[in-house]
Amino acid sequence: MIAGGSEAAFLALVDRHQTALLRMAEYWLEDEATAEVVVEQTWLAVLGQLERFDARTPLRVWLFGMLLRHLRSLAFAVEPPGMCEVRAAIDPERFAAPGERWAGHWKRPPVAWPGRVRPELSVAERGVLDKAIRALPRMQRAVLVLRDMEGLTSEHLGEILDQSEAELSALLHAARSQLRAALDQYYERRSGAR
Amino acid sequence: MKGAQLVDLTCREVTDRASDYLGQRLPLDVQARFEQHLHACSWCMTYLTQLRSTIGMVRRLGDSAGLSIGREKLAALFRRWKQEPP
Repeated sequence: MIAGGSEAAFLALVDRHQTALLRMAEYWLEDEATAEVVVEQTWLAVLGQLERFDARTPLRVWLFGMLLRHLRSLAFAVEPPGMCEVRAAIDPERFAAPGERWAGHWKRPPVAWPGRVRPELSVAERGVLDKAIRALPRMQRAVLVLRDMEGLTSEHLGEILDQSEAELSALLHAARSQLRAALDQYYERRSGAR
Repeated sequence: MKGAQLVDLTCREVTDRASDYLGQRLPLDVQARFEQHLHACSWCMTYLTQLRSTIGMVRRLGDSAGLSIGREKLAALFRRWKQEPP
């Protein structure tokens, strides 16, 4: 329909996917105006390649794939070397060291977070999460956003990001761990301030 | 902590593999040892609960209203493309 020239069909696609595409682009580029331009260019590429769309892939996955290919080709948004390393899930200091009694077990265990009364996020929680996402290396950011925010499967992520399952799983866990740590710090500070 | 049941996996190993556990990607025997550890170690259970909450919170962050979508611009882009496809 779109290839046949239906503007309405195209705009229906835009309405459905634009927010998620813009969000992903903005997280990658850290600049709203550039993100908008890149997403526009992605739509143009989508229009140009509609005939090549394989209906066995969900459309959403294909769109994210086109966007990510574009984002990763941008020289000004390439990760400086050293930023790509995957850090340990938890600060190793929090576990008993090898040779110590209970080596590898908690020395400084986690403290339960306050129970959530409302399911919605508070403004502060949003701020903590958003900041922590932006502090991640780009690939981790993309994996986290596509997997946990947009709900894509790890198989689809493998196609889009061209990474093995083991690599993806390490990136995802590293990203989640950084976010968990940021929230943990926030709740700890908050309870200390009380 | 109930010692004997824990020694099989360390807490550090449990925290390292927690996402694989939640995604049901652990080999079955490791999954069984993982769950055994969780039953015996409330600290790791606390950690896992926090990781689950984190994932849920990221999802909710995505549910919120996003950036403006620039529909008009894209409609114009479509009309240009239709006139002269690349």
